[in-house]
Amino acid sequence: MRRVVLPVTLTFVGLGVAGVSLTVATTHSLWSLSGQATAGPVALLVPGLGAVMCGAAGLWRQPGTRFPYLLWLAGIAWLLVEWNNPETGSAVVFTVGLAFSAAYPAVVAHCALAWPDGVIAGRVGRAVVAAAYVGAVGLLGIAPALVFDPAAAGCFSCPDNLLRVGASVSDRFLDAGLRVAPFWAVAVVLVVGWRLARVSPAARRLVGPVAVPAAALVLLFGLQTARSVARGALAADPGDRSLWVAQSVALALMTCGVLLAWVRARRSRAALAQIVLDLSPGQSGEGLAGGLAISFGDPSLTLSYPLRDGRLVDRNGSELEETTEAQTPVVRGGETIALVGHRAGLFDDPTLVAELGSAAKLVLDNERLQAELQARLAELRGARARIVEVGDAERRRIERNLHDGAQQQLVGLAIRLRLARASASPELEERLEAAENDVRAALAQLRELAHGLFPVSLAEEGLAVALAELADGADAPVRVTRAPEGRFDQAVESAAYFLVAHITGRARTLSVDVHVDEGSLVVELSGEGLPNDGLTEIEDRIGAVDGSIAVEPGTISAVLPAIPIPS
Amino acid sequence: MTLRIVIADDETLLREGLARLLEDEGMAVVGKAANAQELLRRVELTRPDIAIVDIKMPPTHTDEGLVAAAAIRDGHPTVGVLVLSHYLDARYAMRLLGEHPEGVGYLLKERVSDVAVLVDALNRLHEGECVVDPTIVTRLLHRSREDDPLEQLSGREREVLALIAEGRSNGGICELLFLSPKTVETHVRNIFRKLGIDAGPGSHRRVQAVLTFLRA
Repeated sequence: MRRVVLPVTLTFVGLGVAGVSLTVATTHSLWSLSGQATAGPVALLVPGLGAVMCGAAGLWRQPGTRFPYLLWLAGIAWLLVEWNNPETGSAVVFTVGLAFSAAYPAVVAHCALAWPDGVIAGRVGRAVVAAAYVGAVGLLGIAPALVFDPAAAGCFSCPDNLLRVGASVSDRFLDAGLRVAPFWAVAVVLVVGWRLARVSPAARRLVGPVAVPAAALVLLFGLQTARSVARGALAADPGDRSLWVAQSVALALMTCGVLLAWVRARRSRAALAQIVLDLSPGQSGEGLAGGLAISFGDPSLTLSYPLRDGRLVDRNGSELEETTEAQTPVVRGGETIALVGHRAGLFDDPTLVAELGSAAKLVLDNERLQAELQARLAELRGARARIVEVGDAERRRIERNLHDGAQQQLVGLAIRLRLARASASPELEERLEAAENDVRAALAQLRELAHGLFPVSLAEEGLAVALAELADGADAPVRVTRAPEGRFDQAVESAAYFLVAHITGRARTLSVDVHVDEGSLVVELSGEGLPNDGLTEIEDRIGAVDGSIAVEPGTISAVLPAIPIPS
Repeated sequence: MTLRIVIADDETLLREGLARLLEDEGMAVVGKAANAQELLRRVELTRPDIAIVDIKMPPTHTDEGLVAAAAIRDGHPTVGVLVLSHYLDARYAMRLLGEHPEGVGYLLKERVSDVAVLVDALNRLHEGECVVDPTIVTRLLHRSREDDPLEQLSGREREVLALIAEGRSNGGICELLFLSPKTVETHVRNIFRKLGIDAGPGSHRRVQAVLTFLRA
């Protein structure tokens, strides 16, 4: 509702102001700029109402943007130029005219530097626009009006000046205003020129059509004031009228420039919409970036997504390095949702990226969420792999400690007992021998325990030897038909080994076939009495190395990545 | 004849204890070493009959002993080597025994207190046979696999072969299995014949039989 009410209200305000202006101009044409000029009413109404209606339309098109207000204000200010006519007959109209009839060049200067996002970039630009407002509204409008007494100035037909508060010294303010106006006008032109020279060609195509006519208008106004200094007031002689008509053309061109940019944006948006249609989520192998690369004719175009922890990932969630290539952020709600990497200059037109953000919203969100999900999955996988890795390292450490510590000491104890036996009484010797046997049994148990923790052959000799070893020591008949001799990543070897070890402990008979097939290490187990549950730890190990396991009656098979380690 | 022994173990307690045990058994411990380098120097200096080597020694405590054992076998073929290990893995032993396992033995470390086995093993080594720890032999004996070359042996013959692998003499086997020397000799002959080992002197044939047993 509000989306419609505001633009309509603004339009009617503009029509009202225009109506007053036209009435004043045509009924009291002697004092009017437009009244006597060729096609004067057209020069008054077309740029004024044009800017007003474009501004209103801009607000309806994209509510919440700032530039349309400025454009509307420029139109209103343009229309107020007639309101200071001494014969308006209305004190209100006359007073408003006194204060604001010269405001339009300042608003237009504001437009020139605030296009396209409604905010003036840079301190210099802001200073110059502020100077223009002070000069045009302050020195040429409100300040003289405060001290202007129409009757004292000899204008007996003039309505009352509602602003007047003091004696008539208005000439000094006006004089100062007219003298400084050319300076700020030139300053505006210089800043606009500097800005145009700095930006890329694409941005120039966007900024130029608005900023150049606007700067021309300000410059023409500067000329008008320069030739009015001697006269002490802005007036309406034929020279003024020509300059004014030229300004009217400039304002019309500026409005056209804004319209042109909006039409262009609409076109690129339509083109983007087509891309989005072509790219139903999850259909294209290349993703959104691939489609955009084709549409924009830039094969180097990439899309990356910032995660909350500051990392940058692609659509598969893989972390990306910092890049030196040009990157343009796609921002929504103050948050950067994606970065478009591209060749320099491609996205210098900021509206294009904004359009990309809204047109490709669904696909972009889909890819971003997908990327986040993938990144989080990768993190989890990494965490699981680390847990298994740490667990294995710990198993190996304990295995070594058992051998080097406890086992060593027990062997020492056995030797001491044996030495003690040599000098013991027969009765004592018997007891010492029993103790020695106990120690030996403890050693055997300790060895089995350590071997189960992490067999040294797996660490030192690899999978084939460790599996053969496992088969040797198994209670049930275990046959290893094939096992690759080469070494693989330790986590992969462990996963394969502990899978077989786990099943070996529970199956009645087991046949083990391990081979490398197209970059995968395939473990196939068949036999009698294979377990089909209680494999959680094994599944974790296999999952941690990105492998998979399939359990069927009578067979268990696992596919692991065969990451070879050069021996 | 007194066997001359060099002992290498980085644990003082084990080294000294083992030396005393062996001396009590009438052997001469002519050198002790705490690491592989020292061991090689002792062997060089004293030319012992047998070097007893712990597999794990400084600096990395992994297989320094194995490397040193191989070096002794290469440099001094007359010196027998008995490797002590914590590991039951037969493949570890196989690696040590290699193609020419004469005069090489592999015992579990705890065996050092089992003086009978130890002394028997040392004597067999000195005669050029090879010795494998009884526990490992038992483990290998009970494994089950297809295409087993030992399949053709009778149960009794397998037992005898296992005892040969443990480094028992025919006499020792007689005592352990309560058999007459003649019966044991028949079994041994049958084993050689069935495994296709017929060339060379007695000790060499025994080594071959053990190898066949280990690799089966």
